Parts: sequence; structure tokens; C-alpha cells
Amino acid sequence: MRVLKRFVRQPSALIGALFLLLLAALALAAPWLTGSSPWVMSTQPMLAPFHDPAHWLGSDLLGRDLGSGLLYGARVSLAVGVLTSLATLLVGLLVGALAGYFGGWLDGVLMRIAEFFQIIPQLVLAVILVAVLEPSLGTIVLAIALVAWPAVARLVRSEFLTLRQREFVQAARVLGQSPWGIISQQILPNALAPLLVVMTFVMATAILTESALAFLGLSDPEAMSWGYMINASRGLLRDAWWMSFLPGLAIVLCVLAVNRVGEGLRVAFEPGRSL
Amino acid sequence: MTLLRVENLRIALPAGADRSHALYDLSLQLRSGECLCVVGESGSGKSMLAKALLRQLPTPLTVESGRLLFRDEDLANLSETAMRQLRGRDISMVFQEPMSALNPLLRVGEQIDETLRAHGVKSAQERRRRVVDLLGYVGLPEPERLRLAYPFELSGGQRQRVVIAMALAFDPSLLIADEPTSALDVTTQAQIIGLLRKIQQDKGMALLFITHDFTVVEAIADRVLVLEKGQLVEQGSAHQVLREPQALYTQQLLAAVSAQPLAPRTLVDGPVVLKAKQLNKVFHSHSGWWRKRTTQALAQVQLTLREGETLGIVGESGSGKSTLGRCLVRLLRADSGQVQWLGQDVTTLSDGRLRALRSDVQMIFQDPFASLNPRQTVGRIVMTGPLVQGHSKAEAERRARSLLVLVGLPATAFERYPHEFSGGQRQRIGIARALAVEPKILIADECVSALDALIQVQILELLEDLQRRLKLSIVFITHDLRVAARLCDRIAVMQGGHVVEQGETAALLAHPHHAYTQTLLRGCPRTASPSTVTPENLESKEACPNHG
Repeated sequence: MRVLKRFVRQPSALIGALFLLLLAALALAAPWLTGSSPWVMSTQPMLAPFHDPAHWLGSDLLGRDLGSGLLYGARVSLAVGVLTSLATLLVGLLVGALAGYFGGWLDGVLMRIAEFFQIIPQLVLAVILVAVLEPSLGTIVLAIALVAWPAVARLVRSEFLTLRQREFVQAARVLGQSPWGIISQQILPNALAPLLVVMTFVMATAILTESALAFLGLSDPEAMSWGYMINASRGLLRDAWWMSFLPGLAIVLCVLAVNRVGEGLRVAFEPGRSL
Repeated sequence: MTLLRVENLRIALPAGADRSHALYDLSLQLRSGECLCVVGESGSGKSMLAKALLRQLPTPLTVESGRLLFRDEDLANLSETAMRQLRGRDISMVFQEPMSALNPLLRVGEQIDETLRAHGVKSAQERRRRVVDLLGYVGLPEPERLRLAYPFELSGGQRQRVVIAMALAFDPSLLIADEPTSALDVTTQAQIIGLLRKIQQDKGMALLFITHDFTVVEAIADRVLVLEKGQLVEQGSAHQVLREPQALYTQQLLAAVSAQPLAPRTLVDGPVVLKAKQLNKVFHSHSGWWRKRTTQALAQVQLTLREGETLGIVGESGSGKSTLGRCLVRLLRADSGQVQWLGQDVTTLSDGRLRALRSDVQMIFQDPFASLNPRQTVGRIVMTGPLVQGHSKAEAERRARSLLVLVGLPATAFERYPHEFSGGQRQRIGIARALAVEPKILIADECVSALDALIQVQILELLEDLQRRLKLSIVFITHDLRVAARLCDRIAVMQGGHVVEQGETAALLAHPHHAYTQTLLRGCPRTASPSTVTPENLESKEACPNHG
């Protein structure tokens, strides 16, 4: 409860959280708000914003509604962000917990594997994977999660390493609690705070990476996304700047909001270190 | 000449603290060449006095009223620059934890050099000579070489000597020492006290010595001032306060540190419940790339514990006593030798097989703050044991509730979280947790050393009482021979992984054979007369949890 209170007391974190909630609501409601698919050429091409009340954010060079594109793009960005975070959390938690709790050779092997993935440049691996596999939401999530999990695993491991030495964990061992019980009831609840914070950063990176992939034309061709919109209009930057600017702004705001939420959580969890 | 005068000092605490003032109307005088000990428990405001004198009170706190006069000059009127000149030059300070008072990245010589330079000693040669002189003066070996050492290369006692050397850099007229020996072993503690006493007499310094420990008071004080919750309760010469204490609170404090057994004990001759045979444990640590350092934490340790008996294991830090405790409870696996629980060999049993036997042997931990999971309610903490041992939820809850009452906690404790409780209360929770699985053997590892003297007594009395009621056998691990003497039937003294002496408590204290036991004994205070203290008037002490 106190954590929530401290979180709400930070304006930037609160605004970030509200923005994300609003964005999520809009993205979910996209079909009802726009009435048409973002791929439909519904009006004249290159319509500037605030000229046509039916398409008040304007249209791109094929006459597709920009507002509709942004809303559907939010679906992709948020979906990729959330799914990647979950996938990363799952793998990172499992590997980190095993390595940190049991230590020894298991720790050695798992950490070498993690390092192997960590030294591969994130975008390069993502590009290769998506190029080799079918570009779809699933492969994009897989590609991003594959390079993001080691950071989470290492964090979980270090948390487990310190918490494992704490007296209340030893007390649980003496009481005869099973390793699984100790991990889930004693250690994990105490490691949750830093983990949540890192997850928000993973999410921000995932959204950026997805945009980059879409910009390179490697995203799911069926899904409208912000990166794709920038890619489609990059040639007309001087004639119709808003066509690249609006999706770019969307990416910036979305990532900024996620980052602020992460920062807000960090401060809320560690009141002593806020200054 | 009166060097320091404090008049009606009041320091207000922010709203929501456990009392209105950290210090209330405190007055004291200190003359050159005199040692005044300020004694009090944690939270009594004794450290606030030192911070106020240096004008370094933590931010929300300020001096509300009263005056601090140093050489008849009001410290409140000094500019920040003048104050900085005073600190380190005329008034110096020695802290409790030498490691945090030293910069870990600087050689110790450089740190003293820095102090000298900050106060305007220009010549580098002059500074270097002073550094070596100072290090030699505080009794450090080979000062020429030692000045190039980093803090981590020194022992705790050596570090504290370096801090003292730093404080002495300008022959201050007032030295404030805030618990300078509390982090040290008994033998090192005696050496540091001796050193401070010698320096003080050599230089005719005034020494304001802040401590909670009457052993230390006895060794160094000319005059004593006792603080209770920010209020002065008694002031007088060391002899007067220690031998004929007037205030009830002082009497309680003194009684709490006596080494009298809590209850008359008769040696029991029950069956052996816990046995250690030829236990060995070696720790390896790497230093450098190839060199390996091995520490023999346990060497051929032999122990037996009989039913209903309390066995004390006494030794200084690094003597292997905690390793022994962890091997006995099988948190660690001994390298060789045997541990038997109720006649069964558990030395090499797998963790899985061991889990079913765990309920027989339980442990109470040292740190009342780290030993409870902060994210669980007290009820869940205590219920964990019975639940993992296969009891039903209803049964676990029934046991937890009755145990919380048994260890003297309010019934409402069940739903609350550990951070709402004081140190002593948390230790009670830890005891309840251990007892919830109905163990026959308890291993208590330094379970009172983090607590104030009065609370210590209460926890010891609780253990004593529980032992009698539940027929527990206890292994009581401590660095404090005095505490062991109060509770234990037999005592084993450990040094460097060996049990160097073992015997019945009274006999061991009366005729210590081993030289090491004799040194430990010298660290204990001669006992003050017990005791106007009854459990009733002690009980009121702990009723209010001590917040930070």
C-alpha cells in the first residue's frame, strides 16, 4: 500500500502510467473508434492534419488514415512490449533462480549460456531471426526475448545469491521447507521489486526494437505498426513531415512513459535511495 | 578548568517518533584530563549528544534550546568555517565501525595525511613524519610499512587504531568516542580501551566516551552519566554509579550485565540427544591467482548435549563457533566426523532425507531484523514450520497462536508484519518459529548479542523458562562468557576451530585452565550486586517498541 502511495506521489510516473493505460484502452477500442482498417485507402493521399474532420490526423501517401494507423500501431507496440516482457520474465526467472539458488556447476553452465546470448548484438540477432523465420508477432517476440533474457537472469541470480544467505532463508531450510517452497515463498517475494523495474526497461527496449524491425520492413506484414508507418513515409520527410513525425512521436511518448513508470517503481520500492 | 559545558540541551524529534525529544534538558560538564562515560541503551539519545557537539545532527533534527559551550564559547555562534577548524583540530571523534570511518580506496597513511593537510600542515616531509609518529604512537607495528596498507588489509583492532591516530593528529583537547569498541572482540576491546586511557592521561585530553557497556565503563570512566530515553537519570563518579547506583534504571542495567545464573541449575544426566564426533571443516578461499588460503574452521570438535541441558559455546569471532552451530543443524556439511541427532547419524544425509528429521533440531538466529521474512505476516512466519512438516493449516494456526502467547507477544501479533516489532519482540517471534515444529534441540547462535542488556535478560529468561516447560536441550553459542554463564550448565570454549576447554559452568569460571579462557574472563565485569530487578518492572521496558 505504501509502495502505491509513493508511486502516485511522483507526477511523472503517474502521468506515464495514465498515458499507458489510456493508450492500451485506445488500442483495444481501435476497431470501434476508427470504423475502418488502417490499410484501407479511405481519403485523398497526403492530407495534412486538422483539415478534414473525418481524418483529423491526416493521411499518408496512399490515402490511408494516419489516426487509424497510430491506434492499430499501438496494438502491435503494446502487444510486443507486454509479450516480450512476459517471455523474458519467464526464462530469466527460471534460469536466474536455478543458477542463484543451487549454485555450483549448474550456475556455471547457465551463466555461460546467458553470456553467449548477451554478447550478440540485439538488433542483429533479431534481424537474422526474423529474416530466417516467418515474420510474425510470435517470431518478433521470440527474437527480442532471446537477447533480453540474460539481463533478467543475471539480476534474478544476484538477488537470489544475496537473499539465499539471509537468515530467514536459512531458517526456512532448518524448518525443512523444500527448495521450491523457499524459492517461491521466501526469496521471490523479496526479489520482486528490482525485477519489476527491470521488466519495464525490457518492455521499453522491446517496443523500440519492434519499431526498428518494422522500419526495416521485417515486421509482420499483416499488422500496421509505427515503425512501418515511418518507413512508408520516410521519402516524403520534406513534403509531408507529419507522416513520419506522428508515429515517431508515438514511439517516443510510449517508451518515455514506460521508462517513467519503471523509474517511479524503483523510487517507490526504495524510498531511502530516491534522492 | 571546565572544557566543555552543556546546559539544558534539548533536541526535538520529528512528530511521529516514539518520544518528543532525543535529548531533554541534558546538562553536563567535562574538564580537561577527565573521562566522562555516557551510558545508555540504543535509542537513549547518547549518540545525538556527540552529533550535536560536532554540529552534525542528521537533517530534520536541530538543537531546540540549551547551550553547548566549548572553552566558554557557544558552539552555536561559530561560523561554519570556524566550526570546521574546530572539528578534527580541537574536537575529534572516533566512531564505532572503523571500516566505515576509513576510505577503503586510500592507503591509511594518505588518510591521516589528508587530515593534516586539511588543517594546513604544508610541508610534505613534516606530514609524513607526523603520520609515522602517530601510527607508532597508537601501537601499530612497523608504522613505516603500515602507512602504505589499505584498510582491508588490517584487522578490526588495527583499523580502530588508525582511526584513533587520525583523531589524534592535532592533539585535540576533546576526544569524543562513540562506541569505539563495540565492533571488536573482547581481547581487542581491552587493548583499545587501554590505549585510549593511556593517550588520555599522556595528553591531558578530555574524553567523552559513549557506550552501552558497563565493562568498558568500569575500565575507563572517571565519571559516569546514565541516559534513559533522552533523560539524565544518574550522574556521578564511576565508583559511586557502579557500586552504589541510586536510580532504579541504573540498578536494572547493572543487574542485567551480571554473570549470576538466572536460576539455580542442577547437572542433568539424561540421555545424549546431540553428539558431535571429531568434526572437521575447512574453508578455502582464493587470494591472488594461484594461492589458496585455507581456514580450519573446525578441528576435531567433540561435543555431547544431554536432554534438558544447556551447553554454551563461547569464542570470539573467527573461532569457528558459528560454523559449529551450522554444522550441528546441518546448514553446512562437515568435511569429516559425525553429527548425531537423537542417536541417528545425519552427517551425510541428503537434504531431502533430512527434511523429515528437521523438526527435531531448530535454530534461533542472531539478527532479529534479518531473520524474519519482511514480506510475510508474523502468523505465516510461525506457521511455515508446521505446514512444511505436513500438519494441517488449522493445526499450524492453532500452534502459531498459542506459541505467540507463550513467548510473550500480544495476540494481535499474528496478523502484523515483522517491521512493526522491536528487536526483542522479533527475537521472540524467531523463538516461536523454531518452537512451532516442537523441536527437542534448540541451537541459538548469538541470539541475544544484537539486543540491549535489559532485553537480553528477558530473552534469556524466556529461554530458561521454555527449556524447563518443554524439556528442551539447548546449544547456546555466544561471544560473551557472561551471558553464557547466566544460562548454561556446561561451557565449551573455542579458539581457532578447537575446543580448548570444556566443563561445568561454575567450575570453569572459578578455575579456568586454558590461557584463552582466562583472557576471556578478564573481559567480564566484576558482578554488581543483584538484584532489585524483578520480571515485572523489566516487562514495562519492552512494552514500547523502539523505533529506529
